[in-house]
Amino acid sequence: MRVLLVEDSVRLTRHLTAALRNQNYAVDSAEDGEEGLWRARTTAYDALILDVMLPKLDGFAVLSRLRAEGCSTHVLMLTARDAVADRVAGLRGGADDYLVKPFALEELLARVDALCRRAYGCKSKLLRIGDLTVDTETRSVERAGRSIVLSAREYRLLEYLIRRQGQVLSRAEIEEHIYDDTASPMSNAVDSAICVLRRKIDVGAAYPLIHTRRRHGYMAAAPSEIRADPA
Amino acid sequence: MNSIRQRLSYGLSIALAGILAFGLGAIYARVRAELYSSFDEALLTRARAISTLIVLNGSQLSLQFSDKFLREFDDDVSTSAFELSDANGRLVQRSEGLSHDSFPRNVGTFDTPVFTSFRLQDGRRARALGVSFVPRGSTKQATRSNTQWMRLVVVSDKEALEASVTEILTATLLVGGLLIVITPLVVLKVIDRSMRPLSRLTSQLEQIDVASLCTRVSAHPMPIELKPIQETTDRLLDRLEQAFERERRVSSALAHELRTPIAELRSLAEVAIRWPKRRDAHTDQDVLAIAIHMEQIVTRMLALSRIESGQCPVSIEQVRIDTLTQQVVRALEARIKANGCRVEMEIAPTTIATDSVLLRAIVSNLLENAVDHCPKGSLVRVRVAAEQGRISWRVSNSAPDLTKDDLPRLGERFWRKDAARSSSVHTGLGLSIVKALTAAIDWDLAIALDDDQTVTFVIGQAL
Repeated sequence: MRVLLVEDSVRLTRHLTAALRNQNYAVDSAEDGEEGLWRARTTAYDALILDVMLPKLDGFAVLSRLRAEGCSTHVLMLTARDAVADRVAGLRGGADDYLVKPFALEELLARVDALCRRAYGCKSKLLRIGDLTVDTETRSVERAGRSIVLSAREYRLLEYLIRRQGQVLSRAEIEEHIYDDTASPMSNAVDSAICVLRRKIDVGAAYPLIHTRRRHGYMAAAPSEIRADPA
Repeated sequence: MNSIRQRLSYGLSIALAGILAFGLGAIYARVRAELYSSFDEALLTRARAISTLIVLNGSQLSLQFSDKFLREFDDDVSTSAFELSDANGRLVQRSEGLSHDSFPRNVGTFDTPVFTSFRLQDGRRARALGVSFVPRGSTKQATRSNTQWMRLVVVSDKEALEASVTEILTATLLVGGLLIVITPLVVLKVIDRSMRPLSRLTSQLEQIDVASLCTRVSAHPMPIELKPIQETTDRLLDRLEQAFERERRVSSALAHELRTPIAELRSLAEVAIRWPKRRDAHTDQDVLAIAIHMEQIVTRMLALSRIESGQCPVSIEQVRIDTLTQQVVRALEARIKANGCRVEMEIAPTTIATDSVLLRAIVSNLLENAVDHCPKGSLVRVRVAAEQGRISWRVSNSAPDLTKDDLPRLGERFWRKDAARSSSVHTGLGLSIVKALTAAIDWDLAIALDDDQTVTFVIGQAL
């Protein structure tokens, strides 16, 4: 899952980014409203954490412009303004959630997680595909009762594939959702990551879950969902 | 006695009781005098009647009393009597009534009658009228020689009169006493009624609390005597409301100001606790920076509070304002360089009697603001001049984002043009402190924004 954090406090940005990355999110950050708007326009994020009082363009303005342009990314407003009017303005302006500073880190992570789940129409913390289960809370993966250890990036890739299971995802799309600005993926980074992930979850299993659709991309699907390769 | 109600009650009761007593006393005295006067008039009328019935025929005296007339005097139970004697005092005629009593012998004339009060033998009070007169038929010569003059004494029992006077006196005392008893009650009632608007005002004021400071008592009709109190109270409420509103704004702004550093502190602590092995290398520096920022806010708030409450001692001395300005600019050199601006000074050597520490704080704050808020590479102009009988110190810098609407808000606590409050160097209290300090040293502060977006802060004082 890839998240954009728009916050003008450098220190808060640094520590929240660290916390989100530790939770296996790909995180980009912006220090002012204009940069945040530009990033949200150019990248398909799974969730936006948007401060209200931002230099250049405030959070409400960023949100209203994004919504006016048809952007449906889930947005969590993060602000020191706790008046009911502010919360109402934020929610009416198109925010999906509202969190007042100072906040508990656990709560922020839980809300971001909920927004990301909602982005893919899933309310459960458990993601299932065939005999593979992903616990999004503990970030643990099991297949046929066997625990699988994944790196942060591998986990992000698997979670994204499962959330979009049954859909063919292009390399660019996958790249956009699992890599943030700190990573500089090479042209075959997604292929390599898929290859590593396949080795960890499909080798020794009863059936493969990750399928290649040539010239189109990759798809996660249980055997019952697989159709013939159009190519 | 501190109660207006009691004071009015006592005062009015005593005054009204006095007026009542005096009035009733005067009425009683007047009625009594009228009764006595009527009684005496009746005696005189009788005496005149008797005198007209006495006729002198030559040397023979003829008494032409009718039976009906004499019956009034001759009856045993009669309360009136008369006695007629000649000029030598010899008894000529006496009625049968009051036959055992002797009458006073003092006589006057009909023009100046002599009345005498006395007691009859049986103790009854009586009044006598004595007159001497010349009977009809007397010669002029005899009249002049007094030989034919007669002396007439008419007496009447005045017990009935005295009884009437006593009754009137009793009635007067009873009515007076009753009125004196009732007066304080009536007075209290009237005062209570008159003071109802005051009670209403008190009740209105009692209902005003922190949440209802917008209430105004002059909205309710009141007697004109209470209008000044209403208006004064409303003015006081205006000031209170403004002060409370200001305090609310400051508290809210302060809370808001502290939310971000607290959020930073909490987040970095939670991240460090949750992922201790991936502890960020900047954590300790961040904690220190947050602590310094919060310390700055608290220190400046306390300083502002001390200045505004007059706890900031002012020590007047001769200060070279040009030297002071140069020292402050030198101290800011690193910031000037970091912000890429230039400072141009036009300062004449000027000495003024003021507090050097407070003036330095003002100059530092204004210069820091100018240097930190001007666009990179722009010019900050400082000018010190003594002209037209006053000294003025001014700093100007370009402020492209500032509007004229912002000017009244400059100096408001925690107000910053950048609503995001991204700066951890500025707390939004600098200009509030400048305002308070200029007032403390009795200087004035003016802020202007030119059409070319140059903001100028001028502080000054008459020389």
